[in-house]
Amino acid sequence: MPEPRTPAPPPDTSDAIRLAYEDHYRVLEYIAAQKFHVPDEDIRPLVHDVFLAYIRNRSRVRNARAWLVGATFNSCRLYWRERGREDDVCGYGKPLDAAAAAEDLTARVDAGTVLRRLPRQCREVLHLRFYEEYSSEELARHFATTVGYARKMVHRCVRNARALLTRIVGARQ
Amino acid sequence: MIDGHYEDYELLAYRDRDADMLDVPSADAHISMCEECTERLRAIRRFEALLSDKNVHDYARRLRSAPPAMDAFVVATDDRLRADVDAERTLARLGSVAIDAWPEWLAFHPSRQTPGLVLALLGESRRHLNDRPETTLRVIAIAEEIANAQTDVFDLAECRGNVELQRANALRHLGRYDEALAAADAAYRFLAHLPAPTYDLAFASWARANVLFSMTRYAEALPLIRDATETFLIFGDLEHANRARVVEASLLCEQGDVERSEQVYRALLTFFENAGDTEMIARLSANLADCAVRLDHASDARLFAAQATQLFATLGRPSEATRVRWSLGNLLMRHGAFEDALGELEAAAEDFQQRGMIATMGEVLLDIVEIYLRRTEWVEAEALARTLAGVFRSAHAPLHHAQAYAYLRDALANRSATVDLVASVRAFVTGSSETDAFAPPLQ
Repeated sequence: MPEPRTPAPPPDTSDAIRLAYEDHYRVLEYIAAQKFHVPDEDIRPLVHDVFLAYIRNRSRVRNARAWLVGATFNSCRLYWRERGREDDVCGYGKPLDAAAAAEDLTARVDAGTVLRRLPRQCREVLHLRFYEEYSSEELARHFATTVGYARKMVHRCVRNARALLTRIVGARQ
Repeated sequence: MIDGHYEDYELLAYRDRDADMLDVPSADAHISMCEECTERLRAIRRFEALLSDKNVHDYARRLRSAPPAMDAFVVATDDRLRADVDAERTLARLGSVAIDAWPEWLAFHPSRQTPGLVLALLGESRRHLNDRPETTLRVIAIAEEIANAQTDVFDLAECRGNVELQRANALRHLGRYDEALAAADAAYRFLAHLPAPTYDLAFASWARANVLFSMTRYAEALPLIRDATETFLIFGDLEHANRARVVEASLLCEQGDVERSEQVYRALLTFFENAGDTEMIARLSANLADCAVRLDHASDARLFAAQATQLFATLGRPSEATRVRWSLGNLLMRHGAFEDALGELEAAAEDFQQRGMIATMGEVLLDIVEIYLRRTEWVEAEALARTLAGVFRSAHAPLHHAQAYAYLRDALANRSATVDLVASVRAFVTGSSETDAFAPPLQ
């Protein structure tokens, strides 16, 4: 029996893994960084381990994002358990519904991406309004303008951000 | 407004009750009647709630413009995918020759001995699990050889872990429970070396729970299968979680909580019917037939048994159909329909024997012995017990089973055997380990 030549993996399989990485990496990074405060230098290896586990089990997995989210929560917990700090760091608890958690986290990553891509002034307005919780009066003082104009600035930035979000979500679909 | 609906900037002004921007009372009136504007207002509030999450801002600061390059990860992934595709082709080649010739062919093609081929062989071995577990073991042995040749520590752990997992399942089907437990434990040890192994380990726990279930060690099996279910749920894997719940319900059934078990089976049946999973529908129908037997609901039992048998036949799973016949025969026996029961049980026993599933065949023959005893047909009972003891002296049958069947044979020969003794033998062969000795019930 002649030895068969080694074929390339089917492009759709290879692309599916690539797409899964591109689609989901940010969400998994968000979990590790924001939910579990894994140090920056350990985030990428941790997420890559999760992806390797996904590739290993891909024939069993029906909902890739939910699985990856669940796996990342689990790996982050184990990360801190190994360091004896699970109870301090992981008070957030396990996601009871990984699919719902995946959806929520995707929305947060999308919002973060929108903030990152907005012009600097808009980003600053939204940061002051929503992160620092400035009132319209405080915003007006900060930008040396009227309260009415400060309010309009917020409205304009929220509107722009929503438009950008629509484009990001549309591009993904 | 555009087309009779407020724009975002107007809705934002409305949210702030900003009378300079719009007529707030008119907006109140419109929005309370307009679904589209109400939904957009909700969407704005949801988005602003996201913007109020400090994590989102922190995350935005750490974002680079593109995800980190996949570099080495991509290379590793592509290598893995390439090997998997190659393995499927190799398996197709192997399929054209007898299994006995596989080791020789593989020895001449060392480059084909990849982790992908190990997994492909295990997939192939699974096809024979229910009907030809001995064949499964032969294929597993070949996969093990390839697994042991892997030099990468993670490849070795993954391959050997999955080999042992599959071996545990095959040995359980053959009634070699101690070996099956050892294989499940070995699977756990190997898989624990993998990066992010929790999901893989849930399958090892599941395999161990299945073996313990077969050994009637229900109290030990229950926490294991519940842990596995919880893990599957954490991973958003409802399908495997529900499959594991079938085992949990079966354990509850064996522990006597038949009503609860039946409720769980019915709920799961709906889930798998919605998923269009014929195999699980067949399995659950068989389990529901078993529950109905225990609850003495004869018509339900016949209905579910017929459904399960038909589905297993459609699926080409004859040994599963045979198990359903066994359950039905058991039901008929309990209801005193001995002739009908004998027809089902004899056919089931013959089929299990042909498939080399000797331990299971022994359990079916015990039911037949019980029928003969209840009808005080000593000659037939003794002849059958003699056959049974003879079969269990053969090379592949568990030795401790042979000891129990020999005791039964002798008791039938001297006419001291009772239905209680049959029950004791049955409990021993399903629940003992190979180091146990059979102790007859006290008279």
